[in-house]
Amino acid sequence: MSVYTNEDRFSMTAERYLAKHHVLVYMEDSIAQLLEHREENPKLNPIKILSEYFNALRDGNHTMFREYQFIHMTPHNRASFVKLFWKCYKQIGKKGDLLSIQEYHSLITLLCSDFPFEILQKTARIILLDDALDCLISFPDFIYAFQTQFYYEEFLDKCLEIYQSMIQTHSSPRNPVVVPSGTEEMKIHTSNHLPGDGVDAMQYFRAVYPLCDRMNYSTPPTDSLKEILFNVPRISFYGFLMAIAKSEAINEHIGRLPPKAELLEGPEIEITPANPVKTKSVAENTSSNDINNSNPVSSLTKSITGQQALQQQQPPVQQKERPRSRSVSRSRAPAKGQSSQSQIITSRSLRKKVISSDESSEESDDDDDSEDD
Amino acid sequence: MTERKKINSSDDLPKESDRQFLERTSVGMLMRDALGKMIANRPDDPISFLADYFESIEDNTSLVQRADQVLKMTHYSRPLFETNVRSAYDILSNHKVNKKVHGVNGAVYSDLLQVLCKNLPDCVTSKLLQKIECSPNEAVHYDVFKSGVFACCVLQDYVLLAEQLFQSLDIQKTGKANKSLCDVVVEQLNTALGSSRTDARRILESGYNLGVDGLYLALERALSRSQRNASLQTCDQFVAEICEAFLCKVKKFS
Repeated sequence: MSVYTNEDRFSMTAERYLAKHHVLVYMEDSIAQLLEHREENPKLNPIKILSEYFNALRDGNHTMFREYQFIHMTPHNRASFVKLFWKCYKQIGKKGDLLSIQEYHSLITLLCSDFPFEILQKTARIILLDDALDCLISFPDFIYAFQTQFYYEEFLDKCLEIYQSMIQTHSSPRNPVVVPSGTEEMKIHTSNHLPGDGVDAMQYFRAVYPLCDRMNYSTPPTDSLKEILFNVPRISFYGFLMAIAKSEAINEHIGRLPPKAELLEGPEIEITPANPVKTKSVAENTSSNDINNSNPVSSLTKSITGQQALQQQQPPVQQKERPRSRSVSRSRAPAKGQSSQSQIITSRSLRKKVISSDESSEESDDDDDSEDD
Repeated sequence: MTERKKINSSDDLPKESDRQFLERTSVGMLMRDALGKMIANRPDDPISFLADYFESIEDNTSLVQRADQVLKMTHYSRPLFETNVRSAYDILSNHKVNKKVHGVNGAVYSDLLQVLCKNLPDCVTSKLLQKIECSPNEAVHYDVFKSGVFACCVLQDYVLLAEQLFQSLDIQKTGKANKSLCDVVVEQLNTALGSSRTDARRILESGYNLGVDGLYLALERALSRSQRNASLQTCDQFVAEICEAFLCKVKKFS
């Protein structure tokens, strides 16, 4: 890459330049964090805190235990959060465990307590092609689809709008399909397709293309979209999303997760390298037997972030509505390298490998409980 | 110690407001300074720019590191680079030569050049330094300083380009390229550089020979000539040879 390719950043106005990189968001946030930290510890060195903040920001280690609103705000935060999730729960993928989308959501709420379920639901739709949403999902499938959904959220919403309006035009008898330079034959051909068959890929590309390279949200590179849409005659919306999730080029463009072949390789990475007290606080947390009553997230949060620059108060996590919350809260442990507890989740999900109905999974949970005690 | 005492005593006083805190620690001023520098330099990655900025304030870095940071703020093709070189020179001129004398001498200048070249291969760095270094006790003028720094920066880009060139010569992507191909490129480059006289025709010719078409023709000829198991060359060797051509153009300071 030439050093001259980014020349246009010099010609944009200062405001535009700052907005493009969300500089002011981070500056404001750094001061807010600094002041929050000061309430805990009035004798701090602000320059040290700021330096730590921006270093964590540069390395993408800044999204742990932050509120959803902040994580959602910038593309850098979103991508960093996906990477954080990958780092924390890679062990699950290594064991080949399959989890339901609710369980993935529980794992995410351990990192960001107010993360909305809606995004996970949409992620599940990508993987399962909009049906059978209670299926179990493998870790690699999940992480790439989650990245696609979370990172390109606005773009995907716009794509869905376009898709639906195209489908509607096709299926509605009152609005006949307009094929600009098409013969009568072609018209019949296109309108014969049911909505489920998707839309004409080339036509869809032309409709989606104007969305690309905007300032206000991130979009996949045009070349990758071309590759996806030029090679098939017709495409369904979720087929399109799945192709985006599977594209190595797009993953590389986002630039956080490794390619699929290397996703589960490598040693376990320390989650917060600048935090020597981490192991101790985890040990404290797991030693308290009553995991159900004590809130694992908030206590973990407190012990870790007490040492951290980026400190913030956690609202207690709501886990009551999920029947499997107990086993899920334990499944946090393997990610931290507790091998004895990781056995539990493996054995449980081995039994669930066959896609099971809700009742049978309830049963297997009960089995687990009796085994554990 | 005085700082600590002051903070301890502030515990007894009514708690200072956030604004007072920020004013006392001059965070606002720092932020303003960082923003101003950022807008002037327009770094490609503002986040790492900010991280570097606060890091350099946090631990009292040496003069050389600070000068290096100032120089890296913007690419040498930008007009602001000149200003940055000047301020780097000013930073270095705080260097204490002895009890009474402050200024840039050969020693601190070489330190800076070393830091600037730390990404280059060692053999290239040492050859470059031989050319542009000053003796340790010599006072370094701004002009000398500027051209030395400039040579380092240009060489950095040159090495990057050479590495990219090697990537395209490395047809099988094994990390080693056919030596005859590398030799052709170096040869083309050397003949082109050798002809930098006033002869307009030769200048045009050498431009053509280094262009895509010219280079392609030469490479194809070499490829058809070369045997199957020709000797191979690594990227480092290739870069060193290409840099040879650059270094012979750098004038030695007398």
